[in-house]
Formats: sequence, C-alpha cells, structure tokens
Amino acid sequence: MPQPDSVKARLAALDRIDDELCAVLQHAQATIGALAELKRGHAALQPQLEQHVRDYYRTLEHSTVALRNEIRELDAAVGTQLLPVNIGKRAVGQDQEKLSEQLAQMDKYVGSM
Amino acid sequence: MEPDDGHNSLNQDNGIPIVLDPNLINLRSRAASATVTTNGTTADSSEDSGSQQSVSSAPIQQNSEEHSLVSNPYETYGRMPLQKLIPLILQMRNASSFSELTEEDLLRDIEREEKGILTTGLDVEGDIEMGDADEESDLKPQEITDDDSNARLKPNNDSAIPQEEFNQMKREVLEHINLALNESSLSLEFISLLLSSVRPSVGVGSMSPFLKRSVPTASLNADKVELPPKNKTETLTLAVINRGWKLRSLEDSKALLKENYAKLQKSLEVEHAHWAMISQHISSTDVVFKMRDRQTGKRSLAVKYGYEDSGSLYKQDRGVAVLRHNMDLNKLELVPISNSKEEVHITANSVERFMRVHIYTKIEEEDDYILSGESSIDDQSLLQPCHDDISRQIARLKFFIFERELMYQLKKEAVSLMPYGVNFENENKVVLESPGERIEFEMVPLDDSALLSTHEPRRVNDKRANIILILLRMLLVVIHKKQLRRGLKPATSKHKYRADGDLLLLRPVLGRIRHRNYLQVVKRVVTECVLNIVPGSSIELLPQRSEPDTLHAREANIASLNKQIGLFDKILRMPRSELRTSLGAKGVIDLTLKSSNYCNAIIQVIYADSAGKTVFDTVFTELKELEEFLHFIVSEYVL
Repeated sequence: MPQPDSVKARLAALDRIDDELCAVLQHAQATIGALAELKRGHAALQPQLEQHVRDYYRTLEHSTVALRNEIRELDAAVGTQLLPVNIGKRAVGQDQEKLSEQLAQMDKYVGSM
Repeated sequence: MEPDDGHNSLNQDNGIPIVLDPNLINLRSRAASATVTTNGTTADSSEDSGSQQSVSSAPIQQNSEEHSLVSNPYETYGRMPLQKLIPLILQMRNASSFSELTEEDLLRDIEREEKGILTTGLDVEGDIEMGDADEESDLKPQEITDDDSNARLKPNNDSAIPQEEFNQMKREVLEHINLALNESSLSLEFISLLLSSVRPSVGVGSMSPFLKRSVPTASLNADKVELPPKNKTETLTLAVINRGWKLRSLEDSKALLKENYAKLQKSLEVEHAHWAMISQHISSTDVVFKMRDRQTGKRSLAVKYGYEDSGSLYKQDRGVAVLRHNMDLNKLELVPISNSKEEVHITANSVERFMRVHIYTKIEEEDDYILSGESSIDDQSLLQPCHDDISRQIARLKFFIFERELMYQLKKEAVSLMPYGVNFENENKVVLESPGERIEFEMVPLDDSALLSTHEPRRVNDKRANIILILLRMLLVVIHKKQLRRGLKPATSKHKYRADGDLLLLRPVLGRIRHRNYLQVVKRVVTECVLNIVPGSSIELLPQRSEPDTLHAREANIASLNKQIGLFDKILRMPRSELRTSLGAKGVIDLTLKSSNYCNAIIQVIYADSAGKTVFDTVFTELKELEEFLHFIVSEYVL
C-alpha cells in the first residue's frame, strides 16, 4: 500500500535537494577546471569561469532555500499531520487479522459441506 | 696550560659548582701532551714529599683524573702488549728499570690510594683554598681512582671477573652521560654567548655563572652569510616549477571533486530508489521502526511482523525483519533477524515450514494405516517467494512465524497429553493416536514437493484435516486474545495465569474425538445391558444446555475481546453429553458423560424410579464398572 501523496511529494522534494547539493560539487569541479585552464593561458575561458562560479552559487543558494522550506513544511506538519512525540508503534490487531482469515477459510470448507 | 690553571683558580676561589666541566675545555690541550698522565702520577707519588709541590700539582692531578673520565686509562693501556706497557709504567713511576719496582713500593702506593681522602686532608692543612677545590672535585675523581687501580691490577689479573666487567660498563655509561651533559652544556653556553650580543637579558639568563665571570658578555659575534643571488635561469625554473605545482594541484582537486561527485550521484540514485520503494510498499499499517542492521552495521528500518504485540508469548522468534536494499537487484528485501547474534539469517529451510495435518485410517484386516486425509495449502500465493512486493513478503513472514508458534505451543501441550495417545515422532511432528485412526501434525518445508501432493485426488478426510488445522489456528488466536485480555485487565499477578490449563489447542480437538468414541461405547453398553433386555425402553441424547455468558466488562476493548473469545466457548468447554434411558414405567436412567481434563471420561449414572425418586447417583470412570452397575439395576429394580 503506497504512502499518501503528501508524503511522496516531500520525498520527491528532498530528493531534488539531494541532487542539487550533489550538483554543487559538479559546479565546483567545473569551476576549478576552468580556473586551471585559465591559468594555463587560455584567456578566452574567462566568461566560462564566470558562468561556472555563477552556477555554483546559484545551486548552493537554491538548495539551501529549498532545505529551509522543507524544514518549515515539517514544522508546519507537526501537530496537524505528524505527532509531536515519538511513539513506539506496536503490531496490534494481527490476531484479529489471522482470525478473520481463518474464518474465511473455514467458511470455504464448512460451506461446501 | 696557563689559562686552565686560571680557570681553576677562579673556580676554586668561589667554590661554586659549575655546569661546564672545565676539564673539557682543556681537553684538547691535555690530549696534545702525551706525558700528562705521568705528570698526574708523579704528583701522586711526590705528594708526601713536599707541600709546595703539591700546591702546584694538585690542579694538574685533578685535571688528569678528570681527563681520564673521558678516556678510560684501562681502555688505552689495558690492551697494550706487555712489552709496551711496562716501559709506560716505568715512565709513570719515574723508574729507570723494571727491577726498581718493588712490591713494597706498589703496596705503599695502593695504601696511599686508599687513603686518598686522607692525603688531601693533609693538603687542606697546607692550603685551605686548594682543599676546597679538591673536595669539590672529589665527587668524580673518587671513581677515577678506582679506574687507576683497575688499570694497574688488570694486567696482572687476566681472567675477566663479571663483577668487574659490570663495573666497567657502569663506568662507561656514566662517562657517556657525563660527556653528553657536557656537550649540551657547552652548546648552551655557546648559544647563550652568541645571543647575549643581540638580546643580553635572554643570553645572560641561560649562561652559567662560570661563563659569565670568565667571558665578557656580547664578546661573540656572528655574521649572516648571504646566499649567492640566483641567476635568471634559476629564477625562471623556480617560477615554472611553482606554476606547475599549482596547476597540478588544481587538476588534482578537480579530479577529486569529479570523482566524489560521481560517487555521490550513484549513491543518491540508490538512496532515492530505496525511499521510493519504501514509500511505495510500506503503508501506515506496517509497523516500521528504526534499527541498526547487525550484519552491515548501517542504520536501517525494520518491520515487525511477529505476533508479540497481538498477545503472543512466543519468545523464540521476535518477528523482526530488517529492510535491506539489495544493490545487485536494486530491490528491497526483508531479512528476518533472529535473536541469536551469530546467526543473522535464519536458513530458509528452518523458517519456511508450515503445518500440515495428515489423517491415517487403519485398515482393519491389514493392521496398517493408509493416508485418508491431508490439509491443503490455504494460500497458493505463499508458495512463490516474491521479492518485489514487500507486503507479500510481510504476509509470508507472518504466516511462517504463526505456523512456528503453533507447532511450538502444540509440542508444549502435547507433553501433558502423553497418557492419551499423543506422541512426538520428531521435533517437527506430533502424532495423535486414537483407535482406528492416527492424526499427524507435521511441520513441512514449503517447497515443490509440498505443492505436488496437494494436486492429488481428494480423499475422504481432506476436509476434516483442513478443519482441524484451521481450528488449531483459531484456538491459537484465542490464546493470544486471552493474553491480551489479561494485559488489559487490572494487574493481579499476571504471571500466575500462565498455567498449562490455558494452553488449549490439542485438547479441545482430542477431547472431542475421544468423547465421541466414549459416547459410542457407552451407547453400546446401554444397548447391551438395558435396551436389549428391558422391553419398551428407549435412549435419547438430550440437547446441550448452553451456559450463560457470565463475563461482563465495561471497557470497550475488553468487551469486544470477551465477545470474540466467547465465540469459542463451545469448543473450549469440556465435552459433555447427557443420555436419558427411559425404562418405560420402571423409571429413568440418566447418564452423563463428561471429562475433567478433556481427555478422560467420567460417567455419572442417576437412576430414578417411577415415582421420580432418585435411588442411585454414582460416578464411574471405568466402563466395565458401568456395565456391571447397569446389569445390577436392571436385574434388581427393573425386572
């Protein structure tokens, strides 16, 4: 049985943040690569470096903002969708489940008598 | 030689112990003059001759002795061949030939050595200032005089004595330590002196008093030597190298970042898939909690599928499974964990078993049993181990743990039922024997062979086997429910309840089978003893009286549990049948067949005469007695 859509939406959002944080690394890598090329004497790469630096900061900002939003969502959900306390969930009701299942089977045999 | 004496006299004036051993300062000059040692010994021998001479030679002697601190005289002379050593000794003693050395002289010398302190004491009388110096230097020379004596004794005494060897080693170590101390003191003095020209307070602070007195501060100077300036090619090479290093580290960090990015992205993919799967397959009805995976050591989620929270007291398996992500298949797996630490995986063979009931019917003429009934597998879908669907996996695990508990409780109950034809065949099989029939409860591994046998044509007792199995399962649930009810009720020593009387699985089933057999026998006995003899008599089975439910509960949960348990009262009650034999006008015999523990038979016989007056009210446990008693009644009262 799948989780409700609200949970799935949050999961997806968190996944996106993960991806963005990962992309920060990618941009950092590109920036350093461009810098190295620039130092090697490829002066034409200057705009490219600038673009990479811009990307780096943009993704970093995006991810932090998104993360903040998620935290806000979580805070908002406490009390409405989430319990503010931790509870140990117990596997109750399995007895009745089994009983119903067996009753149904009993029906199958006794009914065909 | 002159400055040495000067130093010493400076020292002697004040008698202050110094860090720097002045002996080391004149080490070089001492080593230069080969005859120094002879000087020392001449002083030794001439000490008693004149006090004036001793005044001048005392510092020299001290010097020579302290010099020997650094180079052990035994070391230098001990290994010399005798023909070289003897002239040396002669030279030391100012003797022209070997014959001049007499025993008396040597003994006198040794004696004088032993009284070394005494002789210096005599010196003190002569010159107080000198005595001070001697006393001060006595600390070390004491050892050195030993050396000298050794040096002299050794050539005569060739066999090495361990004690002496040890002493020598000890001395060597002491020498080295002293040497090291002197070296470090020297370097400290040097640095201090050098420093005193730039920072006088720091320099003077670490100077020894002796140095302070003997050398004016800031008297040592040093110049910085400029390195030759680099030429153009050198500077260029260096610049290129620097640049290369920088570029290379940039490249390296780029590669590092790229590598980590790729790694992270891969693990993120897995992670996202994992959570997506969990969100897809785990519903809020599943009991999920955080747990550390003992095998991998990672934090993980676990699912509880055991019946512990639903009233089960089965402790062999807590029914917890870790959700593990299978990297290879990119799937979510449920891995049951056992309580024992060494075995995390329970082998599928021991886990995936289910209970199967077989009924064998005895063939009268052959004295053998044939299989007449077998329970079927209720849920065909359980057969396919599916790793895709977590909920199916949970259902499977639930099924197997329940079957395991059923067998466990069955075996527990069976122990007390040994006298009633219940036996263990092996750890997975309980056999229930009754006349003409044999019922086996067996844990069967869930595999293809189990599947195959279900496709065989249906047998007579298949349905019965199925119903017995279902009943057993239901009764186990009832036991769970009773346990739950106990937990809900106000605590009145809960542990006391767990008696064997509560474990009702086999007994209701076995009791009913036995009861039916008893009833048939009783009927036969009555027919033989009464019906066939007394004309116009008849027998009828009285309808069962239902006992009113006396359980009332205000709490909703307990009430619903009471209701659910109440459904099984009829099965759980001990079997009881009442037979009424009417003897026409001669009265009535009421027979009540009941049991005290489900399995035995207690027969109550009440005979009332025609007036309705009870004549006999007796209880039998033996059928033979019943038979005789009925004969008695019939012959005495009826006929």
